[in-house]
Amino acid sequence: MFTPDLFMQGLQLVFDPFVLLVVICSGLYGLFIGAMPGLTATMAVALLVPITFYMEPVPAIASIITMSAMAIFAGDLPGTLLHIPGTPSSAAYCDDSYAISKKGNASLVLGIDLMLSAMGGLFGSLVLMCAAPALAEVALQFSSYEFFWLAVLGLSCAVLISGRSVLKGLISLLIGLLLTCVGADITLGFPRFTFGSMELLEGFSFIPAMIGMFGLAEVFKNVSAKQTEDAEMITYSTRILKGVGGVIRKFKFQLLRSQIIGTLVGVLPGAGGDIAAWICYGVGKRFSKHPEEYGKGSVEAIANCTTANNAAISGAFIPALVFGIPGDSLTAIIIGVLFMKGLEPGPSLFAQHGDFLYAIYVVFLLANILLIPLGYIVIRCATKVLRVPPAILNPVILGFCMVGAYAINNGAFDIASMLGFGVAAYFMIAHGIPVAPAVLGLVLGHMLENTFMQSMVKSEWDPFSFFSRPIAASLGVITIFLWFMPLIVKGIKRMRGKAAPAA
Amino acid sequence: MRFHDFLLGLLIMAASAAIYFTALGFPDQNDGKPGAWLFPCALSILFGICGLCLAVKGLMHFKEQKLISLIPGLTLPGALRIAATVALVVFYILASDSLGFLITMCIVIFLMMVMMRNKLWVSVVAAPISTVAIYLIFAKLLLVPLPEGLLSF
Repeated sequence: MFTPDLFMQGLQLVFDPFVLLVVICSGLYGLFIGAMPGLTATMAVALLVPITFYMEPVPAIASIITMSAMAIFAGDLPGTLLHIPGTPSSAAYCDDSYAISKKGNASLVLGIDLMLSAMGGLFGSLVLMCAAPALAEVALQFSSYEFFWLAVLGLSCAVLISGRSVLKGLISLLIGLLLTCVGADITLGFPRFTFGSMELLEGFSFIPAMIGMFGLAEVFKNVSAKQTEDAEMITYSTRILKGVGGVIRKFKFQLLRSQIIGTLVGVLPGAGGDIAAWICYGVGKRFSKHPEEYGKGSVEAIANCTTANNAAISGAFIPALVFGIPGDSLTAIIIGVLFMKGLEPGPSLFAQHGDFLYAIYVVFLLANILLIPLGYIVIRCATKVLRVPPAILNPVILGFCMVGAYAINNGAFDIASMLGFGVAAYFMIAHGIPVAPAVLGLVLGHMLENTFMQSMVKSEWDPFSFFSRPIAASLGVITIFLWFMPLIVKGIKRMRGKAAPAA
Repeated sequence: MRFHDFLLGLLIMAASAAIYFTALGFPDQNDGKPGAWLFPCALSILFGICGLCLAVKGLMHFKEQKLISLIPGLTLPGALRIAATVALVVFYILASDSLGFLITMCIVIFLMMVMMRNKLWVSVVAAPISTVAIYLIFAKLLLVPLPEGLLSF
């Protein structure tokens, strides 16, 4: 339900000179990081978190939201001009963008990227504003049983869509969950796996873990990559808006479809902008009048994907704010930040901190509107931004990683912890084990154990109590169905395979 | 270094056994109901089953992979650069208290810039500038008490 009073309070919280300054600075930071190949939006957030640690909740979350929206757009720049996607979210349509640029039409691609990224972000923000409060009212009725199943459902989704191997996704998730067992347990405060260390009594700090897994692991990847010659950059006119209106009019229904799909994919735990872009690429090609152009320079493909990946960012906030279940790695970090600020995500956030939530909505709208002027400035100086050598950038990022980890507790233990998580993440990636489920496990592990133990104690250890309430039972059945879905899909494929030769 | 899925599965099984037996030593709740051991034990059993599945899967495709190999796409110089990066972080952890943030960080960034094949004069100029920039952001703007070491006066 839209509440004008709370909206005005949200506006007041955001239109504070300090918050606006933070929004603009983090926007420029996001544009820079997103435009640098090899540096992802998640890494940028992980490096930003230690700085947000010292801010009030509104500027802290505002900086992360603005930065992510800008970084996802900026990832399109090197894809268009150098044929190297700046972030994984731009990978799906990189070939199309570069093919059109080579034909001398890079300014049209950049214009489409800018305007449709902003439109996708605004669409997702509106869905967030409408859907989140309505879902929160339902979620207010939830007890530990429902939250337990929601956590299991979220983690199951994360495993199923994390990569090629469900088994390796599950291994990753279990690593994350096992790491949350380190520290004092919730029932007796018994120190588990601390080996006498006082630092481990409260468990692993979340921020050093994130900086290690997303920041340091990226540095390892970049320093070990072969040093390549500078790619030839395509030159372009700065009249980027010419022709964009025509593209929007021509593909308006396809764009709406991509924005809806992008937002929904964002809602799914474990799936972010990159998966949204790939799905919209596939769906767009399936229903396109010119599927043969996809991959060879299709304007339709670029328009569909670039709007979807920005819509996904807002979509990921819906489960994060309403249920405390992150939609992707980025919102997983945001949930960690909310906890640090003493704001527990979930329906109670809507009941107790309405002004804060409206401030988040306003920031989403503001960030996507600001994307147009700031993005335009970056497009104008993209040739200079893209020439910052990674050989200088990576050592500086390493410095930020170490100080960022240190800043949380002012101790060297967190730097060592960051190093451990960074090395572990690098080896996981090298073995084809996705990192995202482990991150979700780290975020949701405590919630899973708490809700499980609470439910069991309440029901005097009756396992059927998890199916005793209608919503809990429905969520439980959906979750169990989801577990068996890969087997069902395999079975159907096998049956079709047998039926085909017979026919 | 990259382990064959079979070997990785065995390692996971060994780790899960270690976690399981350590967790068995954790206490029950005061009323005798399952307590601190329940969650880690349950997770370690699942972890062990996953390890077993991975090992069996690896065994079925045993010849497709070497038992231990280099990570695909990783060259020896690349691996050495990763090892050097780890060593630089360890050096920072050990030396920052005595040498102080400014000196240690400057050394770390300078060495890494040289390792990344920047020109020497670029590294000499860029390392102190970026160190001071990080110092100003964290120590002066965010008031993080970074170690002063030799420069404490």
